[in-house]
Amino acid sequence: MKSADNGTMANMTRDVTRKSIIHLDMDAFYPAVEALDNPELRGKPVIVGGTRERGVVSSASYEARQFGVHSAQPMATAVRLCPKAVVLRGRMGRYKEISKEVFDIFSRFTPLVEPLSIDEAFLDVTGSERLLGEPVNIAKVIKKTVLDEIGLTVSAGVAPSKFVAKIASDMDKPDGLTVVPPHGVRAFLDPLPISRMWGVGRVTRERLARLNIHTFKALRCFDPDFLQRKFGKNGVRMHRLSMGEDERDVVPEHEVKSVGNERTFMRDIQVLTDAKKELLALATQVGRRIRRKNLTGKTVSLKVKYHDFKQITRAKTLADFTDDGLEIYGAACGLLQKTEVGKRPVRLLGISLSQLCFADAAGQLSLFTDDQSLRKRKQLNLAVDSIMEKHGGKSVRPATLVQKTNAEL
Amino acid sequence: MEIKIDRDELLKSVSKVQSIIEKKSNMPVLSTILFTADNATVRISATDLELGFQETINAQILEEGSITLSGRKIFEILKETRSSELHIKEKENNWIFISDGVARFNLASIPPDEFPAFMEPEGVSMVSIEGETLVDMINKTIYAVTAEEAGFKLSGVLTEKLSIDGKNLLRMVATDGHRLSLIDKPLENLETLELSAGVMIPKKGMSELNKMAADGGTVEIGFKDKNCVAKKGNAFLVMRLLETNFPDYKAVIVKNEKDPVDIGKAVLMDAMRKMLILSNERYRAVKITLENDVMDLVSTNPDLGEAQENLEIKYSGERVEAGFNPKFFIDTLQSMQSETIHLDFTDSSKPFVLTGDMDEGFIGLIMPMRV
Repeated sequence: MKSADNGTMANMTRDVTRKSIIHLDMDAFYPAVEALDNPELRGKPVIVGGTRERGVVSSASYEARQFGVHSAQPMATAVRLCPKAVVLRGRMGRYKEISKEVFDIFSRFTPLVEPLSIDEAFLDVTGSERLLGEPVNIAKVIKKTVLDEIGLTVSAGVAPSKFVAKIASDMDKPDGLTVVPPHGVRAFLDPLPISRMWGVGRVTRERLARLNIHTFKALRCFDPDFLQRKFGKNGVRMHRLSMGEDERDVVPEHEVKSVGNERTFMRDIQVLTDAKKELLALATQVGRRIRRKNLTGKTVSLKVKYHDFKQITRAKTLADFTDDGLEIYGAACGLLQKTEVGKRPVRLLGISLSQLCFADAAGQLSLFTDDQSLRKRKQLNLAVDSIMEKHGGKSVRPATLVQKTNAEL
Repeated sequence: MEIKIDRDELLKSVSKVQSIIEKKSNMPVLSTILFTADNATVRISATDLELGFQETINAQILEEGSITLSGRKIFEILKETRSSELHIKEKENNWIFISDGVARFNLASIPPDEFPAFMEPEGVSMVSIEGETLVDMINKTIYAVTAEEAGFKLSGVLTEKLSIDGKNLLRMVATDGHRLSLIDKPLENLETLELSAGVMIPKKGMSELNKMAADGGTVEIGFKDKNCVAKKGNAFLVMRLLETNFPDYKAVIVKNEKDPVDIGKAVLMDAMRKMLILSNERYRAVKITLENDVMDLVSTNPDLGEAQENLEIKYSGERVEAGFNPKFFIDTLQSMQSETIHLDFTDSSKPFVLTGDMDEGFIGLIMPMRV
């Protein structure tokens, strides 16, 4: 009896910890919506993006991709590669509309839907098996429902973790369905090139290549301690991912009220200039985060925890919405004067931006700000963001922060 | 102090200051009204330190002196009582006895010497301005003042005097950085005002001044020592001026070369109100297109749907389009009297300019939105 009970318990525990995640990714979403609204475009190479002169490709239909067109490519190149392509400016409003319909279908199957972007989502169907059947069946039904009700195809990856599910959905596009069962994770990942791993950009890839690591398997076989010495925390993370270990939960979308960041220091901050440096680092990050979420905010809050754990917050509302780190930094420095930073040791500083608004709605032009400089800042931020995306969060930073900050010592 | 005072008179005065007294302040005395009795009158004073109001009313003075009373409580007592007269008497230790002949109140109070000193309006050179004119000027600017404390010090109305073609004009300008409203009115004896540079009158002060001017008659205004003083009958208002750090507004008021488009105010306002139905925090911009004698308005909200309206106009120029916040249009149109609005619109990066024949001296600018 006892041993049987234990056995059941063990099984249950395993069942509880084993997750079933589906990653769903709409196939060439923008061109697909265009073809949906205009049947004449079906089967034709369609490119959605900016102008021919300056713009880039947002999304290309599979017919266009055959010519080597891909997203983020300069439009001029794309048109050269595929002169017959129908080039469209894109109708964000319409895409959002369809996206909402698609997500509504997703949420019929589980409340745990985490949108990654307008055309991608994770679903956690761990609890839904008894009601809806095996995860692979759920994925099939979702695919069919989206096709029947909306007329678009979606590719699905089914796996025990978000990381593996996302790779899986990309294996068999368009209209793909790839299932990776828990015991098949290693076999699935092992042969994949390391560039498939999330967060591995050109620089990391080259560094790994010098160690003769080109595939997931090669990485997995490396000593994690060595990787940690070589790559720090990221080394440990990569090693775990190479084995398909990714415990992140599917977090359903909740309305974001504020975006912020805070840091506890190894050593209390005594001097005002040090505090300002930390604020610059925090503000820069908050700016990046807010831009990544396509939001802008109006109220800057500064949180200060003194060495005795006494905590205060000070807030200021700006004249205009912002997503610019420097502007956030400026406001935070102003708020610093309403604190005792510099007079009392400080163990934590935090900055957050609230009163958020979607970047689209914040397009109100100003009478007085020099729009030229504003536009330049926006372009600069965009460029810095894309560099960081490729080369990691510390690749570009304000010169004052080139020296290591307190938290990194 | 001991007085007998007419209930209606006092209620009128006490209700006026309800918007001035602080509801919650770390200085409790700012939530009180100061009563000062001498000869045959009682002076009622209230302040929030930025703004002060005084009014003198007749009363039967039994004993001179001064007291403070909770502005809120005396207001409630006056509202509830049916008696025509109130008896107010100072007792020991700052206790105040109030009776309407039926009920008796004993109220604790703050010693009157804690009440902040007031700037005396004596010796300030003042000019007279028709209440109606002042109300018009304030209504045409106050809505454009920044709602919250901003980076620019724009939380007030810039007031200045200028002389154009030998005519003395009083000018008020307000902006929140996205829109701007300006009004000029000719005014006699303007040169006597100490108004060399422009001054910024805070929004709260402007709305109090508006109330003072609203019931007709003439208002006298003057400036001294970073204060604006306004006087009417037995009442006067002192407003602490804000630091002027007004942007160079003259640079943004440029006359467009194209002829403005004429459109009926009511028609435009109705259309804007309809567009506003589908605009929300997320999707605010309404698209306006001028082409072939048609003004086309489209409001798109992916969460809700779409609204569209065509208005007939006379326009034969090139097709122009831009986005804008319909709320800004409604605010400006509401303040205008003209039945026909001249709408000047160059392109999607320059402000819309609104003027009207019945709104002499007024110009409204609205910056477009990116769409």
